[in-house]
Amino acid sequence: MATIGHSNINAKLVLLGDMGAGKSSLVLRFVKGQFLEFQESTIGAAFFSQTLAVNDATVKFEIWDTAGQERYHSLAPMYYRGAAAAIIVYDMTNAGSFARAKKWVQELQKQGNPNMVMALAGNKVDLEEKRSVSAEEARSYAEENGLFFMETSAKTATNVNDIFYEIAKRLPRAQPPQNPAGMVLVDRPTEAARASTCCS
Amino acid sequence: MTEQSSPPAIEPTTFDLIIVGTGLPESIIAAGAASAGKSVLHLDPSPFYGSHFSSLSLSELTSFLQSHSTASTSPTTTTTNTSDSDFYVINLTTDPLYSDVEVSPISPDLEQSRKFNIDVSGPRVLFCADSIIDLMLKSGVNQYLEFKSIDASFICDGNGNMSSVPDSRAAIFKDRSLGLTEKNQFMRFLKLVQEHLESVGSSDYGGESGERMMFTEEDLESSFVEFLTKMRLPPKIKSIILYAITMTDYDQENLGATKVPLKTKDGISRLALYHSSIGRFSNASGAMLYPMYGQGELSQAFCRRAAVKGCLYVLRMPVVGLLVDKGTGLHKGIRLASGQDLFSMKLVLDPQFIVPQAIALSSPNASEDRLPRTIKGKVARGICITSRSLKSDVSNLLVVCPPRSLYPEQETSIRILQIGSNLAVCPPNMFVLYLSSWCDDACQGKKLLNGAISALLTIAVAGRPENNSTGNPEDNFPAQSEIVEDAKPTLLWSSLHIQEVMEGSCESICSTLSPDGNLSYNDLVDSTLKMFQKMYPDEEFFPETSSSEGFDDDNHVNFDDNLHPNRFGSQFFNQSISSMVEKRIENSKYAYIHGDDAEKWPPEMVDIHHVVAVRRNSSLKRAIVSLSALPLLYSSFYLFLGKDKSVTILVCCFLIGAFFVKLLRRKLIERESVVIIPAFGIQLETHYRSGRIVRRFVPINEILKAVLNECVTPVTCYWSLALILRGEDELMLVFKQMRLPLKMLVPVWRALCAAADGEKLLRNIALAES
Repeated sequence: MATIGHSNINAKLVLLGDMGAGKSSLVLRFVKGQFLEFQESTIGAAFFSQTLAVNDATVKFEIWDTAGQERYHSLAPMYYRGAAAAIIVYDMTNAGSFARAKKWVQELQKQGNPNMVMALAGNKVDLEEKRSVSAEEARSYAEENGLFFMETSAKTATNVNDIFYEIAKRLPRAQPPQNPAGMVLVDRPTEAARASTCCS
Repeated sequence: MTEQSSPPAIEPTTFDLIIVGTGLPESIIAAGAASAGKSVLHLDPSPFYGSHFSSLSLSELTSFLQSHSTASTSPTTTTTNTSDSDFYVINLTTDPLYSDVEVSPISPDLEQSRKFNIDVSGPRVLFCADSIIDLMLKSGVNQYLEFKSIDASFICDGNGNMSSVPDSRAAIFKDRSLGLTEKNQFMRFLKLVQEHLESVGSSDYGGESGERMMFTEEDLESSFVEFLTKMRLPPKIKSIILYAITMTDYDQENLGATKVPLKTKDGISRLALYHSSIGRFSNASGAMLYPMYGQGELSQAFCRRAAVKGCLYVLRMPVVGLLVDKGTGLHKGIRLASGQDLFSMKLVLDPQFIVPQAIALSSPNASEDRLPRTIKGKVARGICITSRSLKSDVSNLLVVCPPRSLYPEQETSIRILQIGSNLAVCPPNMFVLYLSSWCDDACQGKKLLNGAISALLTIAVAGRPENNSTGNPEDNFPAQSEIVEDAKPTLLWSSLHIQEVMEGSCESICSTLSPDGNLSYNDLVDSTLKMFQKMYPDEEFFPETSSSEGFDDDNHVNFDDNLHPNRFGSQFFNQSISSMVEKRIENSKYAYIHGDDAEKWPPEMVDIHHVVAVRRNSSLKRAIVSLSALPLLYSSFYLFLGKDKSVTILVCCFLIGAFFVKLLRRKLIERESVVIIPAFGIQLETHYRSGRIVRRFVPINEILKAVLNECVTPVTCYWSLALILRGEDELMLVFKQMRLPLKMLVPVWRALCAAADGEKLLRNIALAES
């Protein structure tokens, strides 16, 4: 959820989309500036954080990748909880992946927070010759459903940073957290915190 | 995604391990195995994660309980031969885990049931020092979860009156229901336990073994209740320790022949768990935690961890059969409802599945028989929804009804956990109550639950909406005001069921264990880890450190881990300071007395300093002062009312009047006391003549320093004793009302310094150790 503190916004961002649409590649390009031609199915890392400075604030994205749980449509509700933004990714060379992206949008509208910022990303725009989803079709779908649309390429870095910046700009600035936040356990053998043990 | 016409084929088809069911034990095994580099397939027939440990909406919960309370009807022939392969298929059948499900219909008010996250197997909480917490920290699962503390715990009597459980030293100290003697006995007992644990600890760390053991071996093997009696604890404290702190299930003083009493050593280790839980995380106020969005999140978090490590997840995928190798008669794989066959060497099943004895014991002939499962017992569980909290000021709380507190035949204790909407388990202004108790049969179990429900809640008469502002006829409170304040919350919805508790087993096919009747996850996690060890004897459970995902947590509210081995030790009463302090100093106004009620509070426990205002002549003085004040006041009023000539005179008169009043007020103090409890805190008491007592309590670790100040005012010069407190801008005066001479202040100052330094010293030692 987007929480405000000294014009710092902490926002959970989730990625959704078909297997192989390029979700992890988008994140890797954004977070690390890398691109791997043959990115394995997501294993090993499913949690990134990246801070962006937009006009009036810094936005720290906590980016949750699906960890492959979307493959058999087995994403846990935990994944959607408290997400402030979502990027629905489809492969523009694959019409089926666009059709399934629409289903992900429906799923998000059902499960997620109503104020969520949603972006539709038509990935792999570098493969223009194999295009099978027209930009117009996707744009009109996005407009109807309150998403914003961009065609991206993780390979050439086209629009990758832009889509994250656009999300950061659109994040509501003073959104009260939906639920009072709980506390995260941290394994920190602390010195300072020991003081308050007695009457806690 | 919702509609899925034909489930896609799963690829690949061969795995190291296939797990069916996404309950917590299965999820932990999945995460462990995936971290160890195994290829794992994790299936669940339901459309959600968590299985018997899930948190569901009301309608999902109802259908889950009902569908798991009927046995699957299996075809009569349990084996199907496939002609052209080297294996045959045994149909997999399930045993209902739940029985006697009684769910009230969902009323339209609760129709927005999407907002509910109701635990199937509540009540369950995490103790801060629990093994599951360590496991989460080790595996990195803590990144996905948020928690809140359970704010208070209560012990309940037959009338539904709840008194709070003094579960920490501060709580004992502040408790109003315990007398001084009881507090003293309780504290002394805790101190003994703590010394015992220290001596055991020191012998564990290479010291001379058992030399200083406080309790004898005989004591430790005896039953805990006898031990508590031997320690001369009054029944009230015994009941608190047994049922509300060590969470004992059965009536210890009147056990049936079949039940094994809790041993002292186990009782003491549970006590230690509870106490090391308090304050482990500096922003958790109590010993217990509960996950936001319900306990189903725990399974989801472990599953996500497994997925990150490559485990493949398929929900909505029932398993219909087991593949058995024709040659060896051993398990070879599973058949899915979609007809696909998948192969694996190892298989873990949800506890509801019946493992055919044929495969488990690898004899192909005895396929009709099932493997005898160890059934540990039955647990009666209840879920209630109310629109008001059991206690107006706390929303997340635990209530224990000890055995025989509700009715004489009640043999087990009933635990009730109330969770409010701030944990995102229900809509705002609602509360979910989980009840559980061990029972022998459904009838007894329902009686237990209904007893607790009727003691704590009002069962609404059908058709009559709840109205908080009017009393209910069932309540027998006499006064109207009390009814408004204390009326019990009305029950909006409830569900009762009986669950069988089954042990896990791990032969060629492993069956995980079902939710048990305990409040904590300790036993579940411990036996799950044992099962993992048995499956993969050479693998370490979560070998690498957790922070591999590069998720930094600086913007979160964190629970900081304060735990270290001797924490329990350093927090209790450690040193005595009192012996060398002078006993009595007196002057014309005040008398300083040191520790005069040592019979109530033994000197090694507390250190008391009194300063008593000497009464000598005081009544005479007061009379004179009052008498002289009267004419003054009279004259001033006369002046004021008569002719408003001189304002200055009026003001003067009032000033003089105020001066006398002040004099009088000062004399009204009877005594001020400083009660120092080493390693615990300082209580400052001001006793007024009128009988009023003002107490201020300062925890020892708040005190930075005790200082003696020389205060110079234009007219006088006096000494005052003050405390510098952590995070406070102003000094805190120890003696608020009295101006004492230096010779009286010095001994108190010394004692305060010793206490504060002792604490600091301990903290330094603790730091050095950690």
